[in-house]
Amino acid sequence: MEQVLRFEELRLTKKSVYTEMGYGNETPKEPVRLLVDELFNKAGTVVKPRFYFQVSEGQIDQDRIICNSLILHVNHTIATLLKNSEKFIFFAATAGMEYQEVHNELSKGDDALTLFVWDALGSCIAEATGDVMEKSVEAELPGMPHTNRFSPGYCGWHVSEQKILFSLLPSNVCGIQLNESALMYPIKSISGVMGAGLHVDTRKYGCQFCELDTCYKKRLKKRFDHETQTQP
Amino acid sequence: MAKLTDLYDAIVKGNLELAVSTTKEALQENIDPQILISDYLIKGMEEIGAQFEAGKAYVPNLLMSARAMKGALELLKPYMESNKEVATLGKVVIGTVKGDLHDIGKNLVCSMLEGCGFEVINLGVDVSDQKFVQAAQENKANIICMSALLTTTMVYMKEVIKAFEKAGIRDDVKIMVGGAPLSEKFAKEIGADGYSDNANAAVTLARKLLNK
Repeated sequence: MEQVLRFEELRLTKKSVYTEMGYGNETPKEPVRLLVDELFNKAGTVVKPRFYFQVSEGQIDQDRIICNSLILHVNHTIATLLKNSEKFIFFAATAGMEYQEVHNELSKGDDALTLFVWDALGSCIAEATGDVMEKSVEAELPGMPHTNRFSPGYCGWHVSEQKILFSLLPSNVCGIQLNESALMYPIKSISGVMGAGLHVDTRKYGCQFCELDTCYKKRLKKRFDHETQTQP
Repeated sequence: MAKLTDLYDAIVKGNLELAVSTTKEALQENIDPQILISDYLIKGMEEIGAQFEAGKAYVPNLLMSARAMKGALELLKPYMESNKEVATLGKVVIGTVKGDLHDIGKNLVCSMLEGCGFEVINLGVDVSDQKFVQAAQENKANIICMSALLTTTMVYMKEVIKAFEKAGIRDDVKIMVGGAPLSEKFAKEIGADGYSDNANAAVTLARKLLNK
C-alpha cells in the first residue's frame, strides 16, 4: 500500500530537528531557531512524504531472510533481532521529490547554513514517515507485535543488498530510484524490513547491537555521551 | 575609528553584518589588511573552531562564522591582489565521488575552507576520477578533497588516487578524504594523505598538509 502524506501528519517536532543538527538536548540560539521555523513552514507547503509497505511470508535461516525465491543476507545481528518473525514487512519511505527539488536548488547556492538545516529536516521527515508507516502496519496487523525497522547499510547488512530489497517492491516505489551504488534518490529515503509475530523482539533498536565501530552514529553518540558526562 | 575587536567578535558570533561593516571601516582607515586577517579574522575562526572541538559550539555556529569570514575576505581581496600568497592559503578541488549524491558534508567542508581563506573549486556530486584530475590540472590545485557516504562508493576514492598517479600528478597534490563510513585506517589503505571526520578538522588538516 502506497500512501502520500501531508507534512503536518508527521507531527514532527522542532526539537527532533535540533537533535538531528547535533544540538543534543540544547536549543539553538535565535538566528538558527528562526531558520528552522522558516524551513518548517516551507516544508509544510512543499513536502509530500510517501511510504509503501507490503506484508510477506518468509523465514529466517541463519543470517538470512528467505522470501519466495529471494535471499536477503541481513547478517547475524539483524537475523537475531528478527527471530520468531511470522511475517516480514518490507517497506520504503521518502521525504519525496518535492523535498529533493528544494534541496537541489539550495545546493546550487552558497547558503550552507540553510542547506544544512534543510538536510537535517529531510532526515527527520524520512524517519517520521517511517514512523507513520509503522502505525499503518499496526493497523493492518492488529494484535501482532513487530520488531524495529532494519535497513541495508546498517548493522552489518550490506548496502548493496538494497537492490535485492527493491526487487521485492513495486517498480518506482514512492518515486524512489536506486542507482548503481544502491543509493536511493530522493536521498532522504529509507527502506528495509520489520518482522511481525506474537513472540518477536520489540526492544528499541540502537547502536548497542551494531558491530561497526567506525559508524558515524557511534562516533556522534560517543561525543555526545562524553560531553554530557563532562559538563558540570 | 574602527573597533577591531568587533571583527574578532563578529567572526566568533557569526555576525556577517558586523564583520562587513567593521572591515569597511578598517579599510577606510587604511589599516593593513594582513593585520585584519591574521590578528582578528583567523583568530576568530580559530576560537569558534576550538569551541566546536570542545562541544561548546555546533555546526551552524561554524557555518555562520565561515559566512562572516567570507564576507570580510571578499572586501579584503582587492587589497590583497598584489600579494597572492597571502590572499589564499591554497587551492582546493572538492567533490563527492562517482556513484554518490550526498553533498551536505562536502558543502560544510567547502564553506569552512572558503571561510578560512582557501580557494575552493566545488565539482559537486557524482564526480569521476577524470573530472578530479582535469580540475586539478586546470586549477593547479594544492589539495583534492573527496567525500562519500556509502560503503559502496567510498572504494571509488582509490580509483581517483590511481588516476592521479597515472596522470603523473600524484605528488603535486595532497589528497584528503572524509565521509561517514570512512576512517583513518581506510584513508591510509587507499593512499590518501589525510582523513578528517568533521568540517573544522578538515580545515586544520588542509593547513597542516600545506604547512600553513
